[in-house]
Amino acid sequence: MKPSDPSPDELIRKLLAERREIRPPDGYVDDFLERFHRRQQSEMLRTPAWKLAFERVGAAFAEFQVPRTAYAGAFAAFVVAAVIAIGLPERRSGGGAALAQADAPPAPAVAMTLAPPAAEMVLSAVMPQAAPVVRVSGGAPVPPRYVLDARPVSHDPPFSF
Amino acid sequence: MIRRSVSSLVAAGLAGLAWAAPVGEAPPSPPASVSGSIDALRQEMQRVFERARSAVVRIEGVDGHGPLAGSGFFVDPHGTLVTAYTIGGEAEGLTVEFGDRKHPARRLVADPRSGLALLKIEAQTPFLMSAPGPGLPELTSGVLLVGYPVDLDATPSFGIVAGHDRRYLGRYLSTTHLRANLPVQRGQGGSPLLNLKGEVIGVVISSVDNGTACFALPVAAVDKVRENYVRFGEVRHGWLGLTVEEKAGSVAIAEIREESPAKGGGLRPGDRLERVGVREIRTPEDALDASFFLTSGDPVTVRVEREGESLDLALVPADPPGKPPLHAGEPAPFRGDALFMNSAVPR
Repeated sequence: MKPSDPSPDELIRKLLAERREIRPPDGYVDDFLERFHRRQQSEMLRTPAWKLAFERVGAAFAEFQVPRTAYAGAFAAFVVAAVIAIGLPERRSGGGAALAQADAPPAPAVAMTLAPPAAEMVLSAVMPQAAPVVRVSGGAPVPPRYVLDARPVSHDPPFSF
Repeated sequence: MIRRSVSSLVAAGLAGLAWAAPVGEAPPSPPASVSGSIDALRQEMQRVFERARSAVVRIEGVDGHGPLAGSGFFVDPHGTLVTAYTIGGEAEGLTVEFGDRKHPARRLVADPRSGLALLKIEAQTPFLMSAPGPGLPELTSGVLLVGYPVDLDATPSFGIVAGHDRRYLGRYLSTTHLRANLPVQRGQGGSPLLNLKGEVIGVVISSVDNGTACFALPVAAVDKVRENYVRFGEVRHGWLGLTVEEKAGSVAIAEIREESPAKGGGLRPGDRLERVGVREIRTPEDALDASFFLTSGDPVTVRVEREGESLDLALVPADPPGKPPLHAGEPAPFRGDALFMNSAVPR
Protein backbone atom coordinates (compact mmCIF):
# COMPACT_ATOMS: atom_id res chain seq x y z
CA MET A 1 0.00 0.00 0.00
CA LYS A 2 1.31 3.42 -0.98
CA PRO A 3 1.42 6.19 1.63
CA SER A 4 -0.85 8.35 -0.52
CA ASP A 5 -3.51 5.66 -0.70
CA PRO A 6 -6.47 6.20 1.61
CA SER A 7 -6.65 3.91 4.57
CA PRO A 8 -9.36 1.26 4.72
CA ASP A 9 -11.17 3.21 7.37
CA GLU A 10 -11.16 6.20 5.09
CA LEU A 11 -12.54 4.15 2.22
CA ILE A 12 -15.32 2.72 4.34
CA ARG A 13 -16.24 6.10 5.63
CA LYS A 14 -16.38 7.41 2.04
CA LEU A 15 -18.49 4.48 0.90
CA LEU A 16 -20.98 4.91 3.71
CA ALA A 17 -21.25 8.60 2.91
CA GLU A 18 -22.10 7.81 -0.70
CA ARG A 19 -24.59 5.09 0.24
CA ARG A 20 -26.33 7.14 2.86
CA GLU A 21 -28.50 8.68 0.21
CA ILE A 22 -29.34 5.39 -1.50
CA ARG A 23 -32.72 4.02 -0.67
CA PRO A 24 -34.05 0.63 -1.81
CA PRO A 25 -37.31 0.73 -3.76
CA ASP A 26 -40.53 0.22 -1.91
CA GLY A 27 -41.33 -3.43 -1.19
CA TYR A 28 -37.69 -4.43 -1.61
CA VAL A 29 -37.60 -6.28 1.74
CA ASP A 30 -41.22 -7.51 1.77
CA ASP A 31 -40.49 -11.07 0.50
CA PHE A 32 -36.97 -11.08 1.75
CA LEU A 33 -37.59 -13.98 4.17
CA GLU A 34 -39.36 -16.04 1.53
CA ARG A 35 -36.54 -15.57 -0.96
CA PHE A 36 -34.04 -16.46 1.71
CA HIS A 37 -35.80 -19.77 2.44
CA ARG A 38 -36.04 -20.58 -1.26
CA ARG A 39 -32.36 -19.99 -1.76
CA GLN A 40 -31.55 -22.05 1.34
CA GLN A 41 -33.61 -24.96 0.03
CA SER A 42 -31.96 -24.87 -3.37
CA GLU A 43 -28.62 -24.79 -1.64
CA MET A 44 -29.56 -27.87 0.39
CA LEU A 45 -30.68 -29.74 -2.67
CA ARG A 46 -27.27 -29.25 -4.25
CA THR A 47 -25.52 -30.53 -1.11
CA PRO A 48 -25.01 -34.33 -0.80
CA ALA A 49 -27.15 -36.08 1.81
CA TRP A 50 -24.16 -37.53 3.66
CA LYS A 51 -22.76 -34.05 4.04
CA LEU A 52 -26.01 -32.75 5.48
CA ALA A 53 -26.26 -35.66 7.87
CA PHE A 54 -22.69 -35.14 8.95
CA GLU A 55 -23.29 -31.46 9.56
CA ARG A 56 -26.44 -32.13 11.58
CA VAL A 57 -24.80 -34.80 13.69
CA GLY A 58 -21.87 -32.53 14.23
CA ALA A 59 -24.20 -29.70 15.22
CA ALA A 60 -26.04 -32.00 17.66
CA PHE A 61 -22.85 -33.19 19.29
CA ALA A 62 -21.52 -29.69 19.42
CA GLU A 63 -24.11 -28.96 22.09
CA PHE A 64 -22.55 -31.52 24.47
CA GLN A 65 -19.66 -30.45 26.52
CA VAL A 66 -17.53 -33.59 26.20
CA PRO A 67 -13.78 -33.86 25.91
CA ARG A 68 -12.33 -34.68 22.53
CA THR A 69 -10.84 -37.94 23.87
CA ALA A 70 -14.39 -39.24 24.39
CA TYR A 71 -14.89 -39.47 20.61
CA ALA A 72 -11.74 -41.50 20.21
CA GLY A 73 -12.81 -43.77 23.06
CA ALA A 74 -16.25 -44.35 21.55
CA PHE A 75 -14.74 -45.18 18.18
CA ALA A 76 -12.35 -47.67 19.77
CA ALA A 77 -15.23 -49.35 21.62
CA PHE A 78 -17.16 -49.63 18.35
CA VAL A 79 -14.20 -51.30 16.61
CA VAL A 80 -13.77 -53.82 19.43
CA ALA A 81 -17.50 -54.67 19.39
CA ALA A 82 -17.43 -55.16 15.61
CA VAL A 83 -14.43 -57.49 15.79
CA ILE A 84 -16.13 -59.62 18.46
CA ALA A 85 -19.40 -59.77 16.52
CA ILE A 86 -17.68 -60.90 13.32
CA GLY A 87 -15.52 -63.52 15.03
CA LEU A 88 -18.25 -65.11 17.20
CA PRO A 89 -20.09 -67.24 14.54
CA GLU A 90 -16.83 -68.87 13.43
CA ARG A 91 -16.03 -69.85 16.98
CA ARG A 92 -19.52 -71.34 17.36
CA SER A 93 -19.24 -73.52 14.25
CA GLY A 94 -15.72 -74.73 14.86
CA GLY A 95 -14.53 -74.56 18.37
CA GLY A 96 -18.04 -74.85 19.80
CA ALA A 97 -18.65 -78.22 18.18
CA ALA A 98 -15.34 -79.49 19.42
CA LEU A 99 -16.26 -78.36 22.89
CA ALA A 100 -19.61 -80.15 22.72
CA GLN A 101 -17.95 -83.36 21.59
CA ALA A 102 -15.44 -83.13 24.38
CA ASP A 103 -18.22 -82.82 26.94
CA ALA A 104 -20.37 -85.59 25.46
CA PRO A 105 -19.95 -89.21 26.56
CA PRO A 106 -18.00 -91.42 24.13
CA ALA A 107 -20.25 -92.47 21.21
CA PRO A 108 -19.85 -95.20 18.58
CA ALA A 109 -18.03 -94.23 15.41
CA VAL A 110 -21.17 -94.48 13.30
CA ALA A 111 -22.97 -91.99 15.49
CA MET A 112 -20.09 -89.55 15.17
CA THR A 113 -20.10 -89.66 11.39
CA LEU A 114 -23.84 -89.11 11.27
CA ALA A 115 -23.75 -86.01 13.46
CA PRO A 116 -24.73 -83.42 10.78
CA PRO A 117 -27.82 -85.36 9.52
CA ALA A 118 -28.88 -85.92 13.13
CA ALA A 119 -28.88 -82.18 13.63
CA GLU A 120 -31.16 -81.81 10.62
CA MET A 121 -33.51 -84.44 11.99
CA VAL A 122 -33.86 -82.50 15.22
CA LEU A 123 -34.89 -79.40 13.29
CA SER A 124 -37.42 -81.40 11.34
CA ALA A 125 -38.89 -82.81 14.49
CA VAL A 126 -39.57 -79.27 15.69
CA MET A 127 -41.28 -78.49 12.39
CA PRO A 128 -43.11 -81.72 11.50
CA GLN A 129 -44.46 -80.32 8.26
CA ALA A 130 -40.96 -80.27 6.82
CA ALA A 131 -39.79 -83.66 5.59
CA PRO A 132 -36.27 -84.43 6.76
CA VAL A 133 -33.77 -84.31 3.96
CA VAL A 134 -30.79 -86.58 4.34
CA ARG A 135 -28.05 -85.65 1.95
CA VAL A 136 -26.89 -89.05 0.85
CA SER A 137 -26.09 -88.28 -2.78
CA GLY A 138 -23.22 -85.87 -2.75
CA GLY A 139 -25.06 -83.10 -0.97
CA ALA A 140 -28.05 -82.98 -3.36
CA PRO A 141 -30.88 -81.45 -1.32
CA VAL A 142 -33.69 -82.84 -3.50
CA PRO A 143 -35.41 -85.72 -1.63
CA PRO A 144 -35.83 -88.79 -3.82
CA ARG A 145 -39.14 -90.32 -4.84
CA TYR A 146 -39.55 -93.38 -2.64
CA VAL A 147 -40.88 -96.10 -4.90
CA LEU A 148 -43.75 -98.45 -4.19
CA ASP A 149 -46.19 -98.90 -7.03
CA ALA A 150 -49.91 -98.72 -6.40
CA ARG A 151 -50.61 -101.78 -8.59
CA PRO A 152 -48.61 -104.56 -10.20
CA VAL A 153 -48.09 -105.16 -13.90
CA SER A 154 -51.50 -106.06 -15.28
CA HIS A 155 -53.45 -106.05 -18.50
CA ASP A 156 -56.90 -106.49 -19.95
CA PRO A 157 -58.31 -109.60 -21.64
CA PRO A 158 -58.36 -111.32 -24.12
CA PHE A 159 -56.31 -114.25 -22.96
CA SER A 160 -53.79 -114.39 -25.74
CA PHE A 161 -50.30 -115.71 -25.41
CA MET B 1 -42.12 -125.20 13.97
CA ILE B 2 -43.30 -122.17 11.99
CA ARG B 3 -46.87 -123.34 11.68
CA ARG B 4 -46.78 -124.17 15.37
CA SER B 5 -45.65 -120.65 16.13
CA VAL B 6 -48.32 -119.03 13.97
CA SER B 7 -51.09 -121.23 15.30
CA SER B 8 -49.83 -120.50 18.80
CA LEU B 9 -50.15 -116.82 18.02
CA VAL B 10 -53.75 -117.33 16.88
CA ALA B 11 -54.39 -119.32 20.03
CA ALA B 12 -52.87 -116.50 22.00
CA GLY B 13 -55.29 -114.07 20.40
CA LEU B 14 -58.28 -116.27 21.21
CA ALA B 15 -57.05 -116.74 24.75
CA GLY B 16 -56.62 -112.98 25.02
CA LEU B 17 -60.28 -112.53 24.08
CA ALA B 18 -61.29 -115.11 26.65
CA TRP B 19 -59.62 -113.36 29.56
CA ALA B 20 -60.52 -109.84 28.50
CA ALA B 21 -61.89 -108.19 31.64
CA PRO B 22 -64.56 -105.45 31.90
CA VAL B 23 -63.35 -101.91 32.43
CA GLY B 24 -62.69 -101.18 36.08
CA GLU B 25 -61.63 -104.66 37.08
CA ALA B 26 -58.03 -105.70 37.32
CA PRO B 27 -57.17 -107.81 34.23
CA PRO B 28 -55.93 -111.28 34.98
CA SER B 29 -52.38 -112.09 33.93
CA PRO B 30 -52.07 -113.99 30.62
CA PRO B 31 -51.43 -117.71 30.74
CA ALA B 32 -47.75 -118.56 30.72
CA SER B 33 -48.11 -120.68 27.56
CA VAL B 34 -49.55 -117.71 25.62
CA SER B 35 -46.80 -115.28 26.52
CA GLY B 36 -44.25 -118.00 25.84
CA SER B 37 -45.61 -118.58 22.33
CA ILE B 38 -45.59 -114.90 21.54
CA ASP B 39 -42.04 -114.61 22.76
CA ALA B 40 -41.00 -117.61 20.67
CA LEU B 41 -42.52 -116.05 17.55
CA ARG B 42 -40.84 -112.74 18.26
CA GLN B 43 -37.49 -114.47 18.61
CA GLU B 44 -38.10 -116.31 15.35
CA MET B 45 -38.83 -113.08 13.49
CA GLN B 46 -35.88 -111.32 15.07
CA ARG B 47 -33.58 -114.13 13.97
CA VAL B 48 -34.82 -113.93 10.38
CA PHE B 49 -34.62 -110.15 10.33
CA GLU B 50 -31.09 -110.01 11.70
CA ARG B 51 -29.86 -112.53 9.16
CA ALA B 52 -31.63 -110.91 6.22
CA ARG B 53 -30.95 -107.23 6.81
CA SER B 54 -27.30 -107.37 5.73
CA ALA B 55 -28.39 -108.61 2.28
CA VAL B 56 -31.15 -106.02 1.84
CA VAL B 57 -30.02 -102.68 0.42
CA ARG B 58 -31.29 -99.27 -0.53
CA ILE B 59 -31.06 -98.47 -4.24
CA GLU B 60 -31.00 -94.96 -5.67
CA GLY B 61 -31.11 -93.63 -9.19
CA VAL B 62 -32.54 -90.92 -11.40
CA ASP B 63 -35.28 -91.32 -13.97
CA GLY B 64 -37.30 -88.87 -16.04
CA HIS B 65 -39.17 -87.70 -12.96
CA GLY B 66 -36.09 -87.04 -10.81
CA PRO B 67 -34.23 -88.94 -8.12
CA LEU B 68 -35.82 -92.13 -6.79
CA ALA B 69 -35.06 -94.64 -4.05
CA GLY B 70 -36.23 -98.15 -3.31
CA SER B 71 -35.14 -101.46 -1.90
CA GLY B 72 -33.51 -104.59 -3.28
CA PHE B 73 -31.60 -107.65 -2.09
CA PHE B 74 -28.57 -109.67 -3.08
CA VAL B 75 -29.10 -113.09 -4.57
CA ASP B 76 -25.51 -114.23 -4.95
CA PRO B 77 -22.14 -113.53 -3.33
CA HIS B 78 -20.90 -111.54 -6.32
CA GLY B 79 -23.16 -108.55 -5.94
CA THR B 80 -26.14 -109.52 -8.13
CA LEU B 81 -29.33 -108.10 -6.73
CA VAL B 82 -33.03 -108.17 -7.48
CA THR B 83 -35.33 -105.18 -7.31
CA ALA B 84 -38.56 -103.91 -8.83
CA TYR B 85 -38.63 -102.72 -12.44
CA THR B 86 -39.89 -99.30 -11.41
CA ILE B 87 -36.71 -98.83 -9.36
CA GLY B 88 -33.97 -100.40 -11.44
CA GLY B 89 -35.63 -100.95 -14.79
CA GLU B 90 -35.19 -97.55 -16.41
CA ALA B 91 -33.37 -95.29 -13.95
CA GLU B 92 -29.83 -94.12 -14.65
CA GLY B 93 -26.96 -93.46 -12.28
CA LEU B 94 -27.96 -96.40 -10.10
CA THR B 95 -26.17 -96.75 -6.79
CA VAL B 96 -26.50 -99.30 -4.02
CA GLU B 97 -25.83 -98.48 -0.39
CA PHE B 98 -23.93 -101.46 0.92
CA GLY B 99 -21.60 -101.44 3.87
CA ASP B 100 -20.48 -97.93 4.58
CA ARG B 101 -20.43 -96.70 1.02
CA LYS B 102 -22.38 -96.38 -2.18
CA HIS B 103 -21.52 -98.70 -5.01
CA PRO B 104 -22.32 -97.87 -8.62
CA ALA B 105 -24.63 -100.53 -10.04
CA ARG B 106 -25.13 -101.70 -13.61
CA ARG B 107 -28.34 -103.09 -14.94
CA LEU B 108 -28.30 -106.70 -16.06
CA VAL B 109 -31.95 -107.19 -16.90
CA ALA B 110 -35.07 -105.05 -16.98
CA ASP B 111 -38.27 -106.99 -17.51
CA PRO B 112 -41.47 -104.95 -17.54
CA ARG B 113 -43.64 -108.06 -17.93
CA SER B 114 -42.63 -109.47 -14.57
CA GLY B 115 -41.95 -106.08 -12.99
CA LEU B 116 -38.38 -107.06 -12.07
CA ALA B 117 -34.89 -105.74 -12.65
CA LEU B 118 -31.55 -107.41 -11.97
CA LEU B 119 -28.61 -105.20 -11.01
CA LYS B 120 -25.02 -105.87 -10.11
CA ILE B 121 -22.34 -104.19 -8.07
CA GLU B 122 -18.68 -105.12 -7.92
CA ALA B 123 -18.38 -106.44 -4.38
CA GLN B 124 -18.51 -109.59 -2.34
CA THR B 125 -21.91 -109.58 -0.72
CA PRO B 126 -24.11 -111.57 1.63
CA PHE B 127 -27.18 -112.91 -0.11
CA LEU B 128 -30.59 -114.45 0.46
CA MET B 129 -31.64 -117.87 -0.69
CA SER B 130 -34.87 -118.68 -2.49
CA ALA B 131 -37.48 -121.01 -1.09
CA PRO B 132 -37.18 -124.29 -3.00
CA GLY B 133 -39.82 -125.60 -5.39
CA PRO B 134 -42.34 -123.92 -7.68
CA GLY B 135 -45.21 -124.10 -5.18
CA LEU B 136 -46.69 -121.06 -3.52
CA PRO B 137 -46.73 -120.68 0.27
CA GLU B 138 -50.01 -121.63 1.88
CA LEU B 139 -52.52 -119.02 2.87
CA THR B 140 -52.09 -117.76 6.45
CA SER B 141 -48.36 -118.62 6.36
CA GLY B 142 -46.34 -116.11 8.35
CA VAL B 143 -44.16 -113.79 6.24
CA LEU B 144 -41.64 -111.09 6.98
CA LEU B 145 -40.78 -108.16 4.73
CA VAL B 146 -37.44 -106.36 5.10
CA GLY B 147 -37.01 -103.07 3.26
CA TYR B 148 -36.13 -99.41 3.48
CA PRO B 149 -39.22 -97.24 4.01
CA VAL B 150 -38.65 -93.63 2.89
CA ASP B 151 -35.30 -92.48 4.33
CA LEU B 152 -35.39 -94.80 7.33
CA ASP B 153 -33.20 -97.76 8.16
CA ALA B 154 -33.91 -101.39 7.22
CA THR B 155 -37.29 -102.21 8.72
CA PRO B 156 -39.19 -105.48 9.23
CA SER B 157 -42.93 -105.91 8.70
CA PHE B 158 -44.76 -109.04 9.76
CA GLY B 159 -47.93 -110.46 8.25
CA ILE B 160 -49.51 -113.46 6.60
CA VAL B 161 -50.03 -114.71 3.07
CA ALA B 162 -53.56 -113.60 2.31
CA GLY B 163 -54.03 -114.56 -1.32
CA HIS B 164 -52.72 -116.09 -4.53
CA ASP B 165 -54.12 -113.56 -6.95
CA ARG B 166 -54.28 -113.35 -10.71
CA ARG B 167 -56.62 -110.43 -10.97
CA TYR B 168 -56.72 -107.02 -9.35
CA LEU B 169 -59.17 -104.19 -9.89
CA GLY B 170 -60.59 -105.81 -13.02
CA ARG B 171 -57.25 -106.42 -14.71
CA TYR B 172 -55.18 -109.56 -15.04
CA LEU B 173 -51.73 -109.91 -13.53
CA SER B 174 -48.85 -111.23 -15.61
CA THR B 175 -48.69 -114.30 -13.36
CA THR B 176 -50.03 -115.37 -10.01
CA HIS B 177 -48.96 -112.92 -7.32
CA LEU B 178 -48.73 -113.40 -3.59
CA ARG B 179 -50.84 -111.00 -1.59
CA ALA B 180 -49.44 -110.48 1.89
CA ASN B 181 -51.37 -108.71 4.59
CA LEU B 182 -48.65 -106.60 6.14
CA PRO B 183 -48.07 -102.86 6.21
CA VAL B 184 -45.77 -101.45 3.54
CA GLN B 185 -44.47 -97.94 2.99
CA ARG B 186 -42.99 -95.97 0.11
CA GLY B 187 -39.45 -97.06 -0.60
CA GLN B 188 -40.13 -100.72 0.10
CA GLY B 189 -40.73 -101.64 -3.52
CA GLY B 190 -38.22 -104.37 -4.43
CA SER B 191 -37.98 -105.70 -0.86
CA PRO B 192 -37.78 -109.44 -0.28
CA LEU B 193 -40.74 -111.25 1.20
CA LEU B 194 -39.39 -113.99 3.48
CA ASN B 195 -40.87 -117.03 5.11
CA LEU B 196 -39.99 -117.71 8.71
CA LYS B 197 -37.06 -119.85 7.62
CA GLY B 198 -35.52 -116.73 6.12
CA GLU B 199 -36.02 -117.91 2.52
CA VAL B 200 -37.20 -115.54 -0.17
CA ILE B 201 -40.72 -116.36 -1.31
CA GLY B 202 -41.35 -113.21 -3.32
CA VAL B 203 -40.34 -109.69 -4.31
CA VAL B 204 -42.57 -106.78 -3.30
CA ILE B 205 -43.92 -105.19 -6.46
CA SER B 206 -46.75 -102.97 -5.34
CA SER B 207 -48.90 -101.95 -2.43
CA VAL B 208 -52.54 -102.88 -2.03
CA ASP B 209 -55.10 -100.41 -0.80
CA ASN B 210 -52.85 -97.64 0.45
CA GLY B 211 -50.16 -99.81 1.95
CA THR B 212 -52.22 -102.05 4.19
CA ALA B 213 -51.04 -105.04 2.15
CA CYS B 214 -48.75 -105.75 -0.78
CA PHE B 215 -48.39 -107.81 -3.93
CA ALA B 216 -45.22 -109.82 -4.35
CA LEU B 217 -43.97 -111.65 -7.42
CA PRO B 218 -43.45 -115.29 -6.38
CA VAL B 219 -39.91 -116.56 -6.27
CA ALA B 220 -40.64 -119.06 -9.07
CA ALA B 221 -41.23 -116.11 -11.41
CA VAL B 222 -38.07 -114.43 -10.13
CA ASP B 223 -36.09 -117.60 -10.82
CA LYS B 224 -37.49 -117.73 -14.38
CA VAL B 225 -36.11 -114.23 -14.99
CA ARG B 226 -32.74 -115.10 -13.46
CA GLU B 227 -32.50 -118.41 -15.28
CA ASN B 228 -33.23 -116.69 -18.60
CA TYR B 229 -30.52 -114.14 -17.88
CA VAL B 230 -27.99 -116.83 -17.04
CA ARG B 231 -28.71 -118.70 -20.26
CA PHE B 232 -29.38 -115.92 -22.74
CA GLY B 233 -28.29 -112.67 -21.18
CA GLU B 234 -31.89 -111.45 -21.43
CA VAL B 235 -35.43 -112.47 -20.54
CA ARG B 236 -37.09 -114.47 -23.33
CA HIS B 237 -40.80 -114.73 -22.79
CA GLY B 238 -42.31 -117.38 -25.02
CA TRP B 239 -45.27 -116.90 -27.37
CA LEU B 240 -47.55 -119.57 -28.80
CA GLY B 241 -49.96 -117.45 -30.80
CA LEU B 242 -53.32 -118.57 -29.46
CA THR B 243 -56.33 -117.11 -27.69
CA VAL B 244 -58.33 -119.10 -25.15
CA GLU B 245 -61.82 -118.75 -23.75
CA GLU B 246 -63.89 -120.44 -21.09
CA LYS B 247 -66.30 -122.92 -22.60
CA ALA B 248 -68.57 -125.30 -20.67
CA GLY B 249 -66.34 -125.35 -17.60
CA SER B 250 -63.11 -125.83 -19.49
CA VAL B 251 -60.60 -123.75 -21.39
CA ALA B 252 -60.93 -123.95 -25.14
CA ILE B 253 -58.74 -122.53 -27.88
CA ALA B 254 -60.74 -119.80 -29.57
CA GLU B 255 -58.26 -118.59 -32.14
CA ILE B 256 -54.87 -119.49 -33.52
CA ARG B 257 -52.62 -117.01 -35.30
CA GLU B 258 -51.23 -117.86 -38.69
CA GLU B 259 -47.54 -118.70 -38.75
CA SER B 260 -47.46 -119.20 -34.99
CA PRO B 261 -45.93 -121.98 -32.89
CA ALA B 262 -49.45 -123.13 -31.99
CA LYS B 263 -50.35 -123.51 -35.66
CA GLY B 264 -47.08 -125.25 -36.49
CA GLY B 265 -47.39 -127.56 -33.48
CA GLY B 266 -50.78 -128.90 -34.50
CA LEU B 267 -53.17 -127.07 -32.17
CA ARG B 268 -56.62 -126.35 -33.55
CA PRO B 269 -59.46 -124.02 -32.58
CA GLY B 270 -61.86 -125.89 -30.32
CA ASP B 271 -59.16 -127.96 -28.63
CA ARG B 272 -59.57 -127.94 -24.86
CA LEU B 273 -56.40 -127.09 -22.97
CA GLU B 274 -55.59 -129.45 -20.11
CA ARG B 275 -51.97 -128.72 -19.36
CA VAL B 276 -49.19 -126.38 -20.48
CA GLY B 277 -45.80 -127.65 -19.37
CA VAL B 278 -46.21 -128.80 -15.77
CA ARG B 279 -49.18 -126.57 -15.04
CA GLU B 280 -52.77 -127.77 -15.04
CA ILE B 281 -55.24 -125.56 -16.92
CA ARG B 282 -58.71 -125.19 -15.45
CA THR B 283 -59.45 -121.54 -16.07
CA PRO B 284 -58.27 -118.98 -18.63
CA GLU B 285 -56.23 -117.39 -15.85
CA ASP B 286 -54.40 -120.71 -15.43
CA ALA B 287 -53.40 -120.54 -19.09
CA LEU B 288 -52.19 -116.99 -18.72
CA ASP B 289 -50.20 -117.95 -15.63
CA ALA B 290 -48.61 -120.90 -17.43
CA SER B 291 -47.70 -118.71 -20.39
CA PHE B 292 -45.52 -116.55 -18.14
CA PHE B 293 -43.15 -119.47 -17.67
CA LEU B 294 -42.74 -120.22 -21.38
CA THR B 295 -39.32 -119.46 -22.75
CA SER B 296 -38.73 -118.66 -26.38
CA GLY B 297 -36.91 -121.56 -27.99
CA ASP B 298 -37.50 -124.02 -25.12
CA PRO B 299 -39.85 -126.90 -26.17
CA VAL B 300 -42.98 -127.28 -24.08
CA THR B 301 -45.55 -130.04 -24.04
CA VAL B 302 -49.15 -128.93 -24.37
CA ARG B 303 -51.86 -131.44 -23.51
CA VAL B 304 -55.24 -130.90 -25.16
CA GLU B 305 -58.48 -132.83 -25.40
CA ARG B 306 -59.73 -133.24 -28.93
CA GLU B 307 -62.86 -135.26 -29.75
CA GLY B 308 -62.70 -137.04 -26.39
CA GLU B 309 -59.03 -137.93 -26.72
CA SER B 310 -56.02 -136.47 -24.90
CA LEU B 311 -53.11 -135.40 -27.09
CA ASP B 312 -49.65 -134.32 -26.06
CA LEU B 313 -48.20 -131.88 -28.58
CA ALA B 314 -44.64 -130.57 -28.53
CA LEU B 315 -44.46 -126.88 -29.29
CA VAL B 316 -41.54 -124.51 -29.45
CA PRO B 317 -42.56 -121.04 -28.25
CA ALA B 318 -41.26 -118.12 -30.27
CA ASP B 319 -40.46 -114.51 -29.44
CA PRO B 320 -43.60 -112.40 -29.14
CA PRO B 321 -44.49 -110.52 -32.34
CA GLY B 322 -42.72 -107.21 -32.58
CA LYS B 323 -39.58 -108.30 -30.76
CA PRO B 324 -36.48 -108.12 -32.96
CA PRO B 325 -35.15 -111.61 -33.64
CA LEU B 326 -31.73 -112.68 -32.44
CA HIS B 327 -28.97 -112.70 -34.99
CA ALA B 328 -28.56 -116.15 -36.49
CA GLY B 329 -25.60 -118.03 -35.09
CA GLU B 330 -25.03 -115.56 -32.28
CA PRO B 331 -24.07 -117.52 -29.18
CA ALA B 332 -25.98 -116.72 -26.04
CA PRO B 333 -23.69 -115.14 -23.46
CA PHE B 334 -23.03 -117.30 -20.43
CA ARG B 335 -23.72 -115.54 -17.15
CA GLY B 336 -21.83 -117.49 -14.55
CA ASP B 337 -22.04 -114.67 -12.06
CA ALA B 338 -25.78 -115.18 -11.61
CA LEU B 339 -25.68 -118.95 -11.17
CA PHE B 340 -25.99 -118.91 -7.42
CA MET B 341 -29.58 -119.79 -6.75
CA ASN B 342 -31.04 -121.30 -3.60
CA SER B 343 -27.82 -120.66 -1.72
CA ALA B 344 -27.70 -120.07 1.98
CA VAL B 345 -27.19 -116.80 3.78
CA PRO B 346 -23.76 -116.79 5.39
CA ARG B 347 -24.18 -117.12 9.11
